[in-house]
Amino acid sequence: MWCWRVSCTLNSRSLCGVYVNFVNLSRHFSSLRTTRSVKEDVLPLLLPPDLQDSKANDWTSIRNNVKENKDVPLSTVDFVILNYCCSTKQYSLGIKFWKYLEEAGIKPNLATKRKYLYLLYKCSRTSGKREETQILKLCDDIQKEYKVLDPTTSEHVAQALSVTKCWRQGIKLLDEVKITATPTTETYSAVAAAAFENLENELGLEIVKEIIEKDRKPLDYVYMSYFSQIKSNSSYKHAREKIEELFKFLGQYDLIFNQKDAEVFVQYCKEWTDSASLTVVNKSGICKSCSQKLEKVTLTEIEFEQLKNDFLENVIIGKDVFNKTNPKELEKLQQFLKSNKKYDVVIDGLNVAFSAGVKSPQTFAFLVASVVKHFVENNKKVLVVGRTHMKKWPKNYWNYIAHNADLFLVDCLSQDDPYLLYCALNSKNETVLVSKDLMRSHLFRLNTFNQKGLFKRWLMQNQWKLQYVSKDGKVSFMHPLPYFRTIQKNLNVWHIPYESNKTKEFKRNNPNYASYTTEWACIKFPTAT
Amino acid sequence: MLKYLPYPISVLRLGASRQVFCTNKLNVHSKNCPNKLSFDCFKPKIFQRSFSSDECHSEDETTVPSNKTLDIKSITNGDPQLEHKFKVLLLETEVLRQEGCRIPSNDFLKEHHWKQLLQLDSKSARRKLLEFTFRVQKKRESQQLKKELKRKERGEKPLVPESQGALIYDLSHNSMLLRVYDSTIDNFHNWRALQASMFGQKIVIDCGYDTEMTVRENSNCAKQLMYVFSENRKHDDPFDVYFCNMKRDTILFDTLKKSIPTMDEPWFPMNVYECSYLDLFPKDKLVYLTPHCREVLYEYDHDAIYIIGAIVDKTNPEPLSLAKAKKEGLKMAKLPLDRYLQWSSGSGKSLAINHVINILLDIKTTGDWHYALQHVPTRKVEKVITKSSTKRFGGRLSFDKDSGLFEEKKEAFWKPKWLNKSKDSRMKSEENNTDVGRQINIKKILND
Repeated sequence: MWCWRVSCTLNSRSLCGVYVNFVNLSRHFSSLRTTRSVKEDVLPLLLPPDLQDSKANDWTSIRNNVKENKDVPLSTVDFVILNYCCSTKQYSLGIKFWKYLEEAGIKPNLATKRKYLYLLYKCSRTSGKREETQILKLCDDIQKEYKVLDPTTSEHVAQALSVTKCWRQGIKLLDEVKITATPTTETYSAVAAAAFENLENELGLEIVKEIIEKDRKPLDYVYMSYFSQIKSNSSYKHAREKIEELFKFLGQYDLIFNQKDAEVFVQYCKEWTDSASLTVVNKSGICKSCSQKLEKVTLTEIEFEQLKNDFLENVIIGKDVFNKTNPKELEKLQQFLKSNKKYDVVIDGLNVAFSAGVKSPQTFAFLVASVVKHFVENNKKVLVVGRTHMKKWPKNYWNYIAHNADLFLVDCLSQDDPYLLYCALNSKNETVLVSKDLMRSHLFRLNTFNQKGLFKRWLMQNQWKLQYVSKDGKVSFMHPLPYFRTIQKNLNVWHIPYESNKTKEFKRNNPNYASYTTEWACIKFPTAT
Repeated sequence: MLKYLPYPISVLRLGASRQVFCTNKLNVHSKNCPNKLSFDCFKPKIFQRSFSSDECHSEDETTVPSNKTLDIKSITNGDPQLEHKFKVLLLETEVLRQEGCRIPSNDFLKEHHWKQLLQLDSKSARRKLLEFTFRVQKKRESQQLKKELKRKERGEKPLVPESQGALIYDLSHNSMLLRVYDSTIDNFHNWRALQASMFGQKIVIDCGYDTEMTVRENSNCAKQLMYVFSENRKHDDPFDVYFCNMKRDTILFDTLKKSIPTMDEPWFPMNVYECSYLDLFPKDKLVYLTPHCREVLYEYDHDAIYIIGAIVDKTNPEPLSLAKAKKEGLKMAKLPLDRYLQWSSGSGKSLAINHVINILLDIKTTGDWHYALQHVPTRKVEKVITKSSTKRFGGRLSFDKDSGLFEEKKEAFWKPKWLNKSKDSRMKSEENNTDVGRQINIKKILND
């Protein structure tokens, strides 16, 4: 049986077929399951340990070694070796290997060529020493040989060209890739960075926008090239304008940045600003470094209206009205909303009822009644959304709820959440929504990135989560944060939210632990004089 | 054993030669034939090597001429955009092959493979499909090898000794044991299905969800429909099954037709309708079985016409059948799974269509949910919530009266003994309807 398992693990993409070499080693590797560990553990064994100083005949012996087993064509072995060099970041080793191939007169295939292009690109990005002539020659070769290029090759070519003077070709290649696949973040970032370096800010920002709208984040070197271009050719005033332009642009998208990004911001802005540092913001929204108070970002009336309409169209109606409700009920809702005034609080009746787990109807009714009471005593106008079966709850509590709050009850076969959200959206901008639900399934139904962003923004600032109800009916909530996590300018200070590697790892280990990152980059410009 | 080994090892064991294909440089833009793409440019080199020999072969690359041509026009319908995409995909597969990925040979990739590949719009999706096709190819090759090996082992057919006029008594010659052919069994089952179409209870399979499913889901669904047909006609008392809303020229129909080629023949006992069930049956008798509704089917109604939605929803979690029943104003019901079974955590409450039909077949004949729900796969069930009736029919768990514990039985599935008994004793056992009477009855059966 061990044979089977080993062959499974070794049939990974890069190693397919090489495994016959390792039948003796296979027992040692039988415990390895993931392809990743195979790549990391087996390949160094394939290559001699003193590979760094290997001369030409070493490469010959390595290739011969594989050839003896003949399970895999030699050209694939070339690819595997280059792939290994890329993944372990031994770029100079890869370049040496390529030289050997050229000297030995071996013609590499397309897979090897494009991997080498990728290696050259990575090498140029990390070391700063650009292999322009080599890249241009190789790209030219490939493009002459093939009239059409497959997506991965196009991407590698675009990446490699981005560090040369022909970077503009990358935009065409991106369009070419889009016919058959989605370009990777790395390719987008490479082209965007090239645009910034060549002083084409608008083009670069457009590409960055495209990345963000695909729900990804641009890589850190995009920002780096943006800043370095400012640094090289401008006065203070120009630099400040440019930096603020970038922040304003990124502020539209409510991104949470990586630690690396934040470090880049701080490092480059230091030259132009009074102070720039990574800091922490406390619960009430005061920055530790500059003691400014962070603000909420409420939706504008137009945005709010737009979100409401999108929500009705995509979430409640969707593909088929009958999936979530029925047309009669929808009409009932419209009538209901027309005849009633705006509410201060909208309560998700069933979510509140079940927040203590599955208990008796007595408990359900008590919980909802307590929450209603809490708001009614504060002179708020309350709406409870639920299902018709709630009418069967014990009369003492139910009568209180029915008298003090307005009710909207949907059929037992319909979903109440979409109605709840719509009622809340239909009220006021600052209406409070009481529910513990994260509403992710409804968020998913919204189509565009913009709609999703608005919905998240609204939900994060308006949702109160029920935490505790004491026996005498006292209620406590988890309130939304008094500030909003997005890039914002408070007086002269820019605040940029980020997530440190530590927090990320903590979140990965404790996926159920709800935490708000409190880490921000604080960048203070001197007051204009 | 061979069956479970992956391709290379199995070949290794067989001592046969192994071939690795790698192709020359690819010329996607072949100038001479704009519409027909010649595969001559892919002439694969074959590195041949026998594993038993120790000596190293020098690169004995033999080129195999392959005259395969793919008709681009029929794949792309003459659409220049698709044609371009096709060329890109062709190069992509080739480079993946160069990288050592598991990609089937070009001979194996047929028109429908390319059509399917053209529909996918991500690299990983295409690679997964290609890898899957590679496995299929290797499986077929190794099956072929095994077949040949077996043929060799079997050797030549022994010569029949020439008889001079006298009859030879042997199994394959003259014998008193009649051979029952597969077709005979088939005819028997078909006769049962035909009987059901005259006297049996009607049941509807709603096949109108093909647009909501992916290609894979559609083909899974077709397979389940095939099982529905075959398991239904094998049952003692089958349903009269109506496949409604079955549109022609869909993946679902084509795949089903592949497994049941005779389904369109007039003599075949299978009712396939393009129209809706609403055109065939009175609305008040129809009951849609949907897991999303709230009414539970406690009492099986022998007059109702139940509808099962033919959906495989691996990716789409929407309550489609509920929406449809709501829209058409039909009665709804769901199987009483929660009442009789404790669902194990982590497994979805979805059942295959053939499981549902099996459950309904058994509830119809026995009237006992414990017995009928044995068709729910064991992996989905933590334990059966027992009642005394389980004893009667023998569920998967039995209640030990002395210790008060649930004890697992070794045989996961067995028919109730009374089914084998004569009709008279069955009537008697139904008369003793009290618990005590039942226990005594069981003791009797056990003693028997």
